[in-house]
Amino acid sequence: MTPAQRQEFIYGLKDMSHSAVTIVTWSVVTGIAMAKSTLTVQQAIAMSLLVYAGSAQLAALPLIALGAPIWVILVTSFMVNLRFVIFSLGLQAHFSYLSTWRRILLGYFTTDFSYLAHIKRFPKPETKAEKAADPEHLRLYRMMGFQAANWISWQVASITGILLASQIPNDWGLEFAGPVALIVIIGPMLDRTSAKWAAVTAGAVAVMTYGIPYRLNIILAIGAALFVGMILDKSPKERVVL
Amino acid sequence: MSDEASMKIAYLIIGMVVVTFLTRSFFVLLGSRIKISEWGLETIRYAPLAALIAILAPEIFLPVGASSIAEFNLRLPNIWGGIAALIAFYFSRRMIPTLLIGMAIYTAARFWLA
Repeated sequence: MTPAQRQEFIYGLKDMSHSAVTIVTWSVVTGIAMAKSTLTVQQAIAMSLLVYAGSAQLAALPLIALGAPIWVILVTSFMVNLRFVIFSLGLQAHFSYLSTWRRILLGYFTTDFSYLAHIKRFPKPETKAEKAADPEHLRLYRMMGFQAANWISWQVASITGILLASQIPNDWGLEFAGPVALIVIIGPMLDRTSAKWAAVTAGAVAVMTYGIPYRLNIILAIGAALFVGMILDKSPKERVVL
Repeated sequence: MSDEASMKIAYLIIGMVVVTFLTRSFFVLLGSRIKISEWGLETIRYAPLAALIAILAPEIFLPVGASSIAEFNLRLPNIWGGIAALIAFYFSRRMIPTLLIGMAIYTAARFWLA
């Protein structure tokens, strides 16, 4: 790293500290939910370190406990993670000059927090002139600072949550922290009428068809909600934020 | 945990790592060759919401290990904890108060309704 690059990296680390309380709270709760699920401590730590996608992890836990087939859990994780597909469109526009494998690695570490921090700092991809004036790719180092701070704080807090919760007796009912955390993830998504109806549909279908095998009720619920959302959403819409 | 069960978790974790890579690098992998239509982006918009609700709703409204909706009953502490957490979130919009109130009512309901 050149001195200018190191400075951007450090700015990135510091910028991310504004979100530290949120990241750490999330992460501790996710850690607790994992430790109180059917996973062993080792499995929970491996999942935290490798999967690195909190909402997908929280969504997977009840399915694992109920013995859903792997493919249903993976389809569900994919659905929960679809927002990252939209982020990756923006990421591609910002970092198209990097080699493919570096972009894939950059993508892997781009969470909600680091993506939103980057887009807030740099709303538009670099123009040709800006790119020519930035041979050291300082924006990339800022992003790497965001990502490093995010990854480290997430992992430390998550593993702390796992280890602490594993010391607490099961009959304290701490496993309920998982569903409560899901409520907090879902809340801000209910920002318009069509989203609310899509949510009611998904909930109703998932509960009513709960008895069908392989947890296919999840897949049915997603399909029904997308259908309802599509039909209701005829109002002129704001563009998806990139 | 049996060997078979822990192998299943190992495969699941590998699969979920692939999903993380795949979704976060989706357009990086596709490059600019493929464009997804506005319609496509609109359609997937509610998928994360739907998937999370589909997981959450049975966790709140049905007992652990229920086999069908017939097992719904109002003595379930999850329902009261879940409703309390929803109300707390509605007013606070924050994680910590939602968690504390949701867990407190859940715990109280476990003792009173059990």
